[in-house]
Amino acid sequence: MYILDPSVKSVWGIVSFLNRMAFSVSIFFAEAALRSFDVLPFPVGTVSGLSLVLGLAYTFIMPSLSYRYMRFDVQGDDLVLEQGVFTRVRTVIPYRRIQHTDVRQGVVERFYGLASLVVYTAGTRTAAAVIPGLSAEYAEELRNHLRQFAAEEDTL
Amino acid sequence: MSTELIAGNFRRLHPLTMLYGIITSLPGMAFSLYLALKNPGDLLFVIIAAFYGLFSLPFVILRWLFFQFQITPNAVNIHTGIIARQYRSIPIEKIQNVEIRQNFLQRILGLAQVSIETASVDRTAEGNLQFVGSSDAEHIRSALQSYKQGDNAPVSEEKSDIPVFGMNVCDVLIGGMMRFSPVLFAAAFSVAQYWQALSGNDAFGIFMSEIRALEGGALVLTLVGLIAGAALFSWIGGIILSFSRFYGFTLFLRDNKLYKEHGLFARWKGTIPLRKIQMLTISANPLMRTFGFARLEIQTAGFGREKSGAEIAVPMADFNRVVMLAHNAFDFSLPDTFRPLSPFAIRRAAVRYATWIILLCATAGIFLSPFFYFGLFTLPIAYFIALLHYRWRGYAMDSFGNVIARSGWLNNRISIIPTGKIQTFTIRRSFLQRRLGLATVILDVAALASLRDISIADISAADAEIFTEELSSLSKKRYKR
Repeated sequence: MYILDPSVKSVWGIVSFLNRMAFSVSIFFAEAALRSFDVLPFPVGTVSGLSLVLGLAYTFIMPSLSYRYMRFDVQGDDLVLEQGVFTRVRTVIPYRRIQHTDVRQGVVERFYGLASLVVYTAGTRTAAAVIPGLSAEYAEELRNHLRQFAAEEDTL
Repeated sequence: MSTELIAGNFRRLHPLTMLYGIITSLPGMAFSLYLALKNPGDLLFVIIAAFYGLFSLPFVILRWLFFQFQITPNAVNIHTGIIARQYRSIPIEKIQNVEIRQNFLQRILGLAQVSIETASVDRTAEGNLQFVGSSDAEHIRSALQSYKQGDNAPVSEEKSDIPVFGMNVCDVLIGGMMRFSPVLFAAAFSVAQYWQALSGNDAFGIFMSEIRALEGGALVLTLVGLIAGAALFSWIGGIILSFSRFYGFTLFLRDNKLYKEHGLFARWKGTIPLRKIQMLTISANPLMRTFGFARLEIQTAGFGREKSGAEIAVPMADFNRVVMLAHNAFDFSLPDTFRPLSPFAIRRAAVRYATWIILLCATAGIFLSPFFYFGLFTLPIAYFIALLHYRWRGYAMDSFGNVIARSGWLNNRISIIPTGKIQTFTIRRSFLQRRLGLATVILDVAALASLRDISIADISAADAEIFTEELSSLSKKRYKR
């Protein structure tokens, strides 16, 4: 079993922080708008402040927890992915079931030299499995490795 | 017409499509006009009405003008879009299923909708021809099928049809009586609420306040009466709906495909390619089970729009007959005994049902009458339901290498998944499951099946590991052969 690159925690933290901030700011504007109609039963900033506090707590706690429980394996004939903090999920994807693979790199990921590998199958529940926190070179390497097993045209 | 199709020229949809578009936009237009007339001087409603008049009618015509399609031996090309043009090309070999649909109005106008379905992850990569002439629809379907089989001679002549299953009027009626739809049940209640909105008198509100004034036995009696009334309403509604839907049901086999046709006002036509079948589901609600009936659903890799990916292959027949008919899809054998879940499954289910009862009683107690708090005395029922739930569930492997899972203590379902069709294996363990040493195995297939049909919930964690390993090595062996 492989673990992810530890700097993925920073990536998740930054992305989460930006998302929670954006969410809280939009709630703040909504509160301000309601305030101008005199229909807000509490002072402006109550809900947005609460969401900011919870969001920051989430940002501090979740990345390291997710990191601790996430691992993958590419030995044998299957791609194995384990993840989940509260609900633990272990997904086994036989190589021959892979339809195609993408290497995805977000802005923050690029800054840290990381990338995610996205593996698509014809399944409907786990149509796309994402392995985040791979070094960009390793993600490429892994994709090339998986490509040789890619499903033939008609495996349904 | 068909020669033009096969020549691969770009064509437009049937001109009556425009008339259909106008007819279907009439209710919206009438409503916006009504609003504008009812609120004179309110600019908003005038704008909405003007929008309808100025845009919706030209839009119908423009959309027809700008929609072109072409069918070649290699691909179906569809060009759409008035301002932003979209050029879609669906390679013939990616087509999984071609479905023809007609509702009542379309039937009068001689139109049909052709849906060209693919199995790709990207579900927007589908082709929808709304609408072509009904005979053209048949030509398109058979042309696509013959292209797909690789012979370039278009529209192969009819091969012999082998009838598989059919229902006469009596069968359809009995099938309707056996149906119970929770949707209709909810609809019966909401009709009462709409009544208030439409008629303007607050009969429903008065009625509700009268209910709140009731106490004890009278309240329970009134509620039981209400529920019985709604049940009767939904039962009769269900009979009518299912009669109009399944009237003249026929299923026949031709050329390694199952074809079905049914419907009184609107005709449904569907194709089930045998090679694309991902799983079978045999189900029965308590009423059907009492009389020994069952229904058969077949999930294929094409996303048949009807009931989330499942095609109803047999709406209702004797259980043994359904099992026999299901063998048309692939070989399987139903086991006499199923492997049980972990006994701890009872505890998890009991916790879940108990939570529901508490929530229900609390809500009713707060909003209707404190009398409902006595409902908490029914909590032991949660345990008995959990026990039933445990007894009904189970899983097995048959000698043909199929996974057979049974679930649903109320609506009994048996799903049959060939190991070779399983895409991914997932083991899920929630917090409570980990405390109880349980796990859920999810066998993902390329059909849009409901989660409970493809999951084996609450078996012991060790069994989950062993079973997944067993399946995974079996599917590997099958693949290599």
